[in-house]
Amino acid sequence: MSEARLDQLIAALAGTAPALDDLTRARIAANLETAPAAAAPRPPASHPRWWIGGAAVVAAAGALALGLTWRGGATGPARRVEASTAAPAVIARPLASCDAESAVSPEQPTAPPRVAGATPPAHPPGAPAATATPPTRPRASRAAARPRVASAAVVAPAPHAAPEPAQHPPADDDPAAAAATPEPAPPDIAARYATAERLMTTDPAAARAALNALVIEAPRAPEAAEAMLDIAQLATRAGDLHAARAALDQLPALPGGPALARPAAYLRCVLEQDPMPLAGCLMSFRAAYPQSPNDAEVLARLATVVANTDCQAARPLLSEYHQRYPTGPSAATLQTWSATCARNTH
Amino acid sequence: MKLAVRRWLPTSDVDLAIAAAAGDAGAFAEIYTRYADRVFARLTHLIGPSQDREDVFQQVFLELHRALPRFRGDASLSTFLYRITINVAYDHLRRRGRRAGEHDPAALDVLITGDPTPEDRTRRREELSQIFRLLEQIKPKKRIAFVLVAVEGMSLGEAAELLGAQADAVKQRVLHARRELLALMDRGERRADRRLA
Repeated sequence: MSEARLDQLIAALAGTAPALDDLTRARIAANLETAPAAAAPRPPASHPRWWIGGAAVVAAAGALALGLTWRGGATGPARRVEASTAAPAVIARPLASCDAESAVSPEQPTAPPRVAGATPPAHPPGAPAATATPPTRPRASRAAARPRVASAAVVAPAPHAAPEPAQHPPADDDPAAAAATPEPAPPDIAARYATAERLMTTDPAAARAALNALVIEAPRAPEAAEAMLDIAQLATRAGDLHAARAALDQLPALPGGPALARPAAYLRCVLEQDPMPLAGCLMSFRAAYPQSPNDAEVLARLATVVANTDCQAARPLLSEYHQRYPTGPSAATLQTWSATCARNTH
Repeated sequence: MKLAVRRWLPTSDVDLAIAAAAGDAGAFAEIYTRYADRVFARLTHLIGPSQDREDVFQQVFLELHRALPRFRGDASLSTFLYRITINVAYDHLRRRGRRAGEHDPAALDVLITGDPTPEDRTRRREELSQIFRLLEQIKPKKRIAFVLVAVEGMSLGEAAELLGAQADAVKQRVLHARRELLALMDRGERRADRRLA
């Protein structure tokens, strides 16, 4: 008696569908947003004071060294000082965040300044530096450049982060200029896309990761839309339909995305699992893109899906395929379907 | 932690986790969007529709945010998140102790699916109330193993992976839980009989 009753109770619990209502979902999302202190990993209690004190001493020593360097080497007007680009380049990685305010780290204002003319971080040839640097600027002493390296080491990227080309962001003290300056696309995007494309056949997982990184880092590059479509295709092949749909959803907003609407629409149909939505999607696709180079494939698929459930409805589709694509890749299969349907309807 | 969804997001769970671990608020928001419902459902099964369920739910995502830098992609993000869910639920149950609290009928009503008749709804509500009351009285470890296997239909291996235990140990916990639940039911029935007599 109890056994049966317990099973009944278990079934009752298993049959429940606890759902998060929209209000609670939004409230908790808001709570999570405003709980950085609770969410952020906290260092030991005694640590911050020590760290702040230490940092102050280091900053003072750096400033002193820098001042001495200027004074010692200055023979003319004071030399220009640029803000260090090393730390922001690491902090404001595209993966870290895309909004400007979260990209600004508390370390930035105290980052040791870089004397103009000190060896700049490697950047692509031809890429303009954010601050115009006179070519005749005297070379700075190594002592001044040293703290910059240390600061870069402090904010070194996590081991899993992809290496990125150093960039020269606009000066931090000019937000208007920062907003007006378009994000320069790294020049090697085309090469990276080509590499990722090659990987698609040999190592789909690596290709997907590379394409994802590419889209995140250069969403305005001309290759971004194609990369996004490739991501959708790879995800489809991997059976990750959620990811494939998410990629297709993001595609239209990318530059060049609308031009890929047709293959994206076809891929969206391929993602449909159930016959009815699949048939509906394929029909809409054919209506929207009657001249599609995929038409033979789409028609064959549509005819097969419909024939599986309704031979009568499939007949015109099967005949159309035989008329338009008598030697198409699915001709033999659809011939079998035509014969089967003919048998079943007579 | 900002949850504003930004435009360009990685699409796979692993990429999202990596981006979120690197501080990408949009990626974390996307993880929340993808998993909130599933985590909430599992949590409800594990701890019941108690009033503090929302706090526990929130705690799961706070813990996830803390733990993401440790995510190495060895297991899927869902497994990683469910482990956290289970750990948070376990801590909560242990803190709460064994107390057979009454559940709010409205909270139980929300769990009932479909469109049952009023009688059916009452019966199902009583069943839910009874199973949650019974589950309150067994130890958290056994309770969690039992819910994962008997209620959610996980295999012993799957449950073991989430619990970080051996499949045999999970099996023992499920069996013990079932025995204890049966004993509790028998005791309840005898008490009811005595009252009637």
